[in-house]
Amino acid sequence: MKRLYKQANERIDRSKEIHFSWQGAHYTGYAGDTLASALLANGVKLVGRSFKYGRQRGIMAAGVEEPNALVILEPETGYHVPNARATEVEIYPDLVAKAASGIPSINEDLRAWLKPFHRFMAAGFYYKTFMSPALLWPKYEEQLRKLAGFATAPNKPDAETYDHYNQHTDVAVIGGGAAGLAAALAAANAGSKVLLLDERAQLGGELVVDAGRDPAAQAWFNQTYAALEAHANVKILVRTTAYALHDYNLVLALERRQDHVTIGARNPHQSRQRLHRIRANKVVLATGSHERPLMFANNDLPGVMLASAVSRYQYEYSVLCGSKPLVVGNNDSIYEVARDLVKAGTRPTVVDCRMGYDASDLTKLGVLVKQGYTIVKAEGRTSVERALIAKTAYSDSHGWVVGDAPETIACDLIACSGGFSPLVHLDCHTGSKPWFSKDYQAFMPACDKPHRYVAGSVNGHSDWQGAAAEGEYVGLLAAGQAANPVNAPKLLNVADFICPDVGRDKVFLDMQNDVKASDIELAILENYRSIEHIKRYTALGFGTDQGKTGNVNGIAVAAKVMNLPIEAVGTTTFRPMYTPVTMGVLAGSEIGLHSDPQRFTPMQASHRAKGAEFEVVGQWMRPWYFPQGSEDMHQAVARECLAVRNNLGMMDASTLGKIDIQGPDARELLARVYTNAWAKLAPGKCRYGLMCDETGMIIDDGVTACISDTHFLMTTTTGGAARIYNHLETWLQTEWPDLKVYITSVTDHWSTTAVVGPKARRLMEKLCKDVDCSAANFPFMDWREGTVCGVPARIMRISFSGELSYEINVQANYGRFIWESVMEAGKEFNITPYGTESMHVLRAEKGYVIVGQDTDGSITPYDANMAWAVSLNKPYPFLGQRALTRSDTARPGRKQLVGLLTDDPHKVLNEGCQLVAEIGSKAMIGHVTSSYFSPVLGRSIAMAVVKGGLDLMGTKIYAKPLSYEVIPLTIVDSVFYDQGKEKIDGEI
Amino acid sequence: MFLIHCPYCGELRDEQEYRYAGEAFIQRPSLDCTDEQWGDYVFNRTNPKGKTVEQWAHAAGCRKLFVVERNNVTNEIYAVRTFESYKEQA
Ligand SMILES: [Zn+2]
Repeated sequence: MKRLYKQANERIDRSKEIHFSWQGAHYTGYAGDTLASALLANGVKLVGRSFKYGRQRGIMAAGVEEPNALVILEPETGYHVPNARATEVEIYPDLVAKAASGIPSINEDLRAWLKPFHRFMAAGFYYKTFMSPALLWPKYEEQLRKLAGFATAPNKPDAETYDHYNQHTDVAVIGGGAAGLAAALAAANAGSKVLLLDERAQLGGELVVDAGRDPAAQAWFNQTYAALEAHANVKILVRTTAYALHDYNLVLALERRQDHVTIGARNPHQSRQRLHRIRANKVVLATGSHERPLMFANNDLPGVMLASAVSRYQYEYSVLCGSKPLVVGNNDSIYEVARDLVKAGTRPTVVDCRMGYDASDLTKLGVLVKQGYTIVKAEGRTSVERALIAKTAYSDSHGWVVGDAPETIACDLIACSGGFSPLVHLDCHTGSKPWFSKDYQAFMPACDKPHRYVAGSVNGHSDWQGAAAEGEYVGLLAAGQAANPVNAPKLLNVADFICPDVGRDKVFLDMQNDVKASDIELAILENYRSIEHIKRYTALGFGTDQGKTGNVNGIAVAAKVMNLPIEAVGTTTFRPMYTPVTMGVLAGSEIGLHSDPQRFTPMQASHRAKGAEFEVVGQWMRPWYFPQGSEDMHQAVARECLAVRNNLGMMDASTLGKIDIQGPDARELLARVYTNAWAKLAPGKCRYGLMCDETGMIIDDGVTACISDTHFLMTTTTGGAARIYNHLETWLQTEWPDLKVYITSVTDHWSTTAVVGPKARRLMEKLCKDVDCSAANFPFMDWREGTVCGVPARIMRISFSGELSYEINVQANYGRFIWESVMEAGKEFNITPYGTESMHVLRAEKGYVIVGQDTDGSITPYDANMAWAVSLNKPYPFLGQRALTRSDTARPGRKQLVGLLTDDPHKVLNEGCQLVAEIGSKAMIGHVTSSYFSPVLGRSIAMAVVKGGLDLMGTKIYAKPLSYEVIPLTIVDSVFYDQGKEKIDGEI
Repeated sequence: MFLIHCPYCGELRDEQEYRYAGEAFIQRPSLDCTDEQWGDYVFNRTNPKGKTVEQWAHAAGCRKLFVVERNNVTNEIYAVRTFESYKEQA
């Protein structure tokens, strides 16, 4: 391997030397080199060790299909990239790269020492060997994990940023080779807005090789590229991989914006990578094709390369991959590669399994051309030293038969070609199935979806002129212009697959996952017949390369073993993504604080100033508790709860969902969606409502105030606001369009300060002069319109604690003012702000349920012991009413909501803890839904759902937490405190 | 990720703006139906392969629900219609 003299159209810049590090040693390349081309130019042959057997591996390809050369970039830094393909990495000054494989190093791999055992490690080896006894699997797994996989995961936070970009275009052209360039220009000239995408740093695709062979190709490229660059209708994105094509032509593309820039020179204000979401009216797939390797023993030895890659390294990077090359294949393309190698000053040997190609130009130059032969084995200690070739014979009935008297040819490079596989991936992402062309021995794109075109070598064109002509044709069609059909593709003459009959144990199909021809054979022997099953049993195509070079060969082997035509075996499913996509770019900028919106009440600044701890409820940040001094949560909650029970507390209740309901049928809507009655609720009154869905299960609850006969204000649970709004909207628009009612979400329009505790009335009388707050004139479950601290307010006497409580609702802008005014005026009563944790304790003491905590979608109003909230006599049966009498919903023994008291008053159960009837029982009869220490009762309390629990009052049962403890407890009524409701009017 | 033409907004918009709202034209049985009929109404859906008739809501748009006739294999949308248009047809 060496760098050649300057090739005519080379794409390296010899004036810019680039110094980089590989495996800890210093190397030099040129600007324009990939890591692969630079390593090849430096004579580096060994770049990795294989996945399972630790075999030596070298660079095989020159593009994304590379299975072996997986590397880690910038290890142990915030720029760590695991498993990059060296063939895609553009080198930059001071790049640090190392092999992604090798235990402990690629020069001495542990797994290679296990060689005597390799023959036992075929497909299914791990399943068969380590799965029993099952208990030992974790131990095996721990050891196997160390041996498996490639790169280590990054251990530092990503130092870079990512973003997303939405675009619309008339025509998206994917692939910037001859066909793509021609399509883009034709469509643009016809007036379409065109977006042209290519994964490489420069456009041209395989034209760089054609240009090396034919100056006319370079001239055409220069001219077309210049026209595109200057065209107002064209936008070009290079280093951009279209990795998925979804329905309605949504193209997802990953643009590598800074990966090619020296770490220190990257712009921190710009994203490293960008995800483009492209909506295109038409998509042109000019995605090209990948060459397939040949199947022969030791075909994974460093020095075995794809033939087209050898030419690509020669013309693009001026790198000669071997001085004594052997070019071998089953198609005409190998002769072009041989001619390239002659031009580079070597004298290759050409081996063609077929007869009849006129290679006299080569033989005249002294090139040995062996037709009717193929390679059966590569040999060499660390890389290719010689090849064994044998005679071939073809019959229609048996395919290729290879002789058993091999001849030896000395060589240091085996450039092989087993034909080409069109890149049908994107075409298949939306469910199309490729079809098998016998003439081209390849799976071809179906292109059967609307607004989609294919052109170029993906369609079988072997010459750039044909590809360009077809590109121009589909470009015009995509732009809506009439065009004359072009000639059928000039298909390469490709012979059938040569699947070896012997030595399959050393023939590698999927290099990345170490899947051999013998593994496919074994899978079929064990009766895995579908290619999807064979894939999963052998791991064929499971690697980061998704089997780009190996899959079709594997299908051919399976077809031969099963004696089926290849088209009957078919392909596995092509799914996004085409090449690996970073997690970072998928997340884009939606990370950290941006991953989910945070909602705050207008009182947020006050809460923060008070030192509140917050908890997330839905998206709301709600004060959890307000610690004083060095208090922990337990101490703070005990203080807050006792203040509410004995004195005065205040709470920010602004987050409850609020829905304004207006119209002549507002009351009817309530009657239909809530289980209880609404006909008689008068203006000025409030009522608790329980909501079920059509299965009869509780989905929400809350208090609704009657503002007038045609106007109600509904509250929902904090987390349920959007869901309930959707629910009402859906019923109104689908089943009840005749109801004259409007609903509006007003959650954010109002803020609510709850003043709670025996002294609440005294505070209200201070703040509000125009409402009579006496128990007689403003009873529980009434609301009044009035003025608090000069602000118009709706004051509601509702309570979620059982204490005297006034909820002051004002326009949200005044929320903080009211909160702080209440706080100030409450000083003389030692008013105590409390958070959600105390709210939970206070409501549990009263046995009030929280929908979603004490209910879980399987609890009916009867199960929740809330029969009082069910009215079966309404003119229109409420949602879920019929379900309540279904046999399963009405059966005895359903889980019912009860209270629990532990024998040990200091034992606080874990929520979710399982309950059993007897100490030794394993039969679960229910579980704990809420559990707290109640400061006012001085003991623990819990709520639970227990089978038939309402009939088991006073029964002793047991809780069985994960700790193997058994906790004795008694089923009780779920109202633990103030059963007589004596506290509701506070201090009179 | 398909595009849906909202019959109220009159625009072709991305699927992300919409909310799937279940199978369309499910008949709600009356209160005196059998348990089996109610169970069928609540739990069973036709789940065809091919043409489906679905409710969608323009959740991030006009908040209206409407009917989408779609092929769930190819994702081809045959028609997007308001509920009213079906009534007029009947
Ligand atoms: Zn709309």
